Amino acid sequence: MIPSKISRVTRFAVTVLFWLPLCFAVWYFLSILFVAPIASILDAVMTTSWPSLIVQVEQDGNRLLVTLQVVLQQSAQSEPRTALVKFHAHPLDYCYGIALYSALVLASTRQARRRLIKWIVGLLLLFVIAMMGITAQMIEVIIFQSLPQVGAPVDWSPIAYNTAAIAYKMTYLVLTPVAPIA
Amino acid sequence: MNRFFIGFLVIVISLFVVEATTVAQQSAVVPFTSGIATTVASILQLFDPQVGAHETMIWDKESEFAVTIEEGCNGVEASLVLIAAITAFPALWRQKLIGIAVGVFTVQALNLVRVITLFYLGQWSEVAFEWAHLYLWQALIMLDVLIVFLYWLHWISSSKQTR
Repeated sequence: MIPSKISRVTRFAVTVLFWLPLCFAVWYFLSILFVAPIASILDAVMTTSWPSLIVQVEQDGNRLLVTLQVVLQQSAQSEPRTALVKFHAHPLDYCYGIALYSALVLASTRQARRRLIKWIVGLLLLFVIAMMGITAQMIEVIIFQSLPQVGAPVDWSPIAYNTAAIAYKMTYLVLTPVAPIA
Repeated sequence: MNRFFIGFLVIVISLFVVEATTVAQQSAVVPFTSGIATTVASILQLFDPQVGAHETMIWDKESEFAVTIEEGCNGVEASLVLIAAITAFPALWRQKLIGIAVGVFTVQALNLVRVITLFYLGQWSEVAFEWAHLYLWQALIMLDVLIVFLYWLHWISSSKQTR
């Protein structure tokens, strides 16, 4: 047993816990700023991928408001009508890793310049992971939580549906929490 | 380092795929989660007789507030991440098994604290509950996994030096 090495881990843990509340506060109060590019990118990607279903993805504070168009027909004789369905997606559910990662970097004993570079690179990776997670969440809501008429335009094979379900679970339960510490 | 990282990814993905199967869920995960609810209720009943538990649900008999422990809140995923990290790192199997046993115990102990705090936070403030549930405790549990792993690394490192 070498006490100085064990106390280094303890010092690191305490330092992370010291920085964590501040990082969470800054993360939350600046969340509107980083949700904006997420909304823009997802709007471009999702409306291009499913133009007959997804009308718009826009920012609503620190949430995303997703607008879908659904064709409804009460009977074979009635006129089909188009309805707009809206739901909120929650990007912060996939972005809390930014606060933890920032606290880990701040607690690191490396040079400030190296820490800054590492932080920026890490943020970019966490941003990509957050985009994947939010996309998986939106697809999960459209396919599994909405009325059949909503998900109908997403005409996928059973394997694709299972992949979407696994992707949602993996991004929410695995990628998002593990990425900051990895 | 790359070998460890690739090994970690392979093991963690494999463990999660197995954990996601219906057989694993019904035979292990759900009963384990029910056990967590029962354990939490037993602890709380020592000073709060109004608390009850049924399967994965814990409720307060007076306020009728209830929470269910779902995937992501039973400490299973965090334990799997820790098991994958320890298994992927080159060390004696005896050291790995000790690390996994102590580490999983630590993660589950902290998870009990999470469930208890969320149970009372939810009765006090929905906003605070959501915040703690979705963001803060998720980060703290993963931080716990990292710290436990770092302590294990130092333990095996110091074990090598004393031999």
